[in-house]
Amino acid sequence: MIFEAQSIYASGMLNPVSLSLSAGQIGMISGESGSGKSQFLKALADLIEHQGETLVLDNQAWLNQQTITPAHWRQKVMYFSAETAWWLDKISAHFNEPVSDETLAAIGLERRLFEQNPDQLSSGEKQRFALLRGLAYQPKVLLLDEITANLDPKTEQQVEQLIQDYVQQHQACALWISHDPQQQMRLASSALHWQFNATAEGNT
Amino acid sequence: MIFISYWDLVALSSLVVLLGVVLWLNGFKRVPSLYWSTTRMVAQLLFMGIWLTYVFTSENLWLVALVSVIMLGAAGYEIIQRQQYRFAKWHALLIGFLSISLTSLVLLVGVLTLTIQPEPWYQPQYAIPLLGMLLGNSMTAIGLGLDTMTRNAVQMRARIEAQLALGKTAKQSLEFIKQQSLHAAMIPVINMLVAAGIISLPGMMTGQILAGIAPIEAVKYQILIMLLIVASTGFGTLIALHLAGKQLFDHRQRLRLDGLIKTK
Repeated sequence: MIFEAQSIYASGMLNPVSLSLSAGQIGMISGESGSGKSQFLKALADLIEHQGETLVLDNQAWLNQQTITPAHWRQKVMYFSAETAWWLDKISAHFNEPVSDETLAAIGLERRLFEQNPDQLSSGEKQRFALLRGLAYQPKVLLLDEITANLDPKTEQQVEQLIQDYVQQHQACALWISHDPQQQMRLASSALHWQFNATAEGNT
Repeated sequence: MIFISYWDLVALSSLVVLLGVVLWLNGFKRVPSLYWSTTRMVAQLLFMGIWLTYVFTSENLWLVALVSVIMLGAAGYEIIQRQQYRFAKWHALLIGFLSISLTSLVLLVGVLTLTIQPEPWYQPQYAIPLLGMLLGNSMTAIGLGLDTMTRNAVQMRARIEAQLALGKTAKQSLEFIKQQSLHAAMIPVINMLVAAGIISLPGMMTGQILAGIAPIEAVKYQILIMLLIVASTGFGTLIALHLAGKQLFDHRQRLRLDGLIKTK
């Protein structure tokens, strides 16, 4: 699988950005607040108005945002927001299928939390549940917007491990916004790096 | 029947003047607005009385149509006036006008030609009061439903966007808000049905009984009106929410709240 973005530009970004990722790769994005990093990821998921073209090579066929429905595209190219949102009364009601105990344990979540009201959980717990909620749709491209911002160092590394395993097993790829230089270092072996800032265009 | 003189009404209006004074002494700031609305109510009703006398005697289809269009337009306008967030002017008017006129007009013409069957079917003595009853009630329900939908869409933006990001369609992502909006619009109507005849004597029936009609005949008309009101508020709200829900998203099913203007 290959994921390509050609001259993507949305309001809030300084310059159009092009990039390409192949299966198994994790791309890191960093840069100043307000440089349009989140807008860029939302544009890739077709959640906001933008210019440029986004392509996914899936089963030998190139798909772009125009050839499949927005809903189908967003299941393949999925945006994970820094602030999670829940629209039903129980965490479990947001899942179509039950989550296995191993998966929950792998990122330090207890089974009992699964049946609780989202308001009763901490933001860190909700961030991890939101990750599982999205991964259940088996997206091909993960767009991760500071998803470990509210986690302690140990849990943060568990989440990193989960993402790395997912990307390997599903031949997927990920784009990860992170402000944490140590996190960038940890993921550096497999990662490409884009810097968003006031003057430069995206570079590797 | 016993006729009321204009002097009786003038005497009764002193009640509202007195109320205004007492309210003002209690720190209520909007006494001028109370007086103004009361004056407006009297003027509007008197004008309606004179105008209807003319329309009733003429029995002209075009005149009835003209009165109906004015009433529909006013109802559509009142709907958007009550919104905290409304769509860019043109869409707002269209949503209000379409949803209220589609249901009220279809039901009115249906009940006149099939049930009551006056001669001719558009006889203003029947058509105009019936339309007025339908409009007044649908207007409130549609206004409430739309207001709940747009306000919740703004407040719960993150919950809609989270569902879109998971690959749900615009319609699915808005479903929970649509449920809340239907609830807000229909609960007052359901309460009205429950209260009818036990807690409240509906205004139309009271009017007919005062005018000397046999109570059971007045009740039959009231039941007919209630059934029409339930149908027109329900279907009208469904149409309004459907039209409004579409306006909240663009052709790529992206949530577009920039089409909403905050008014209050």
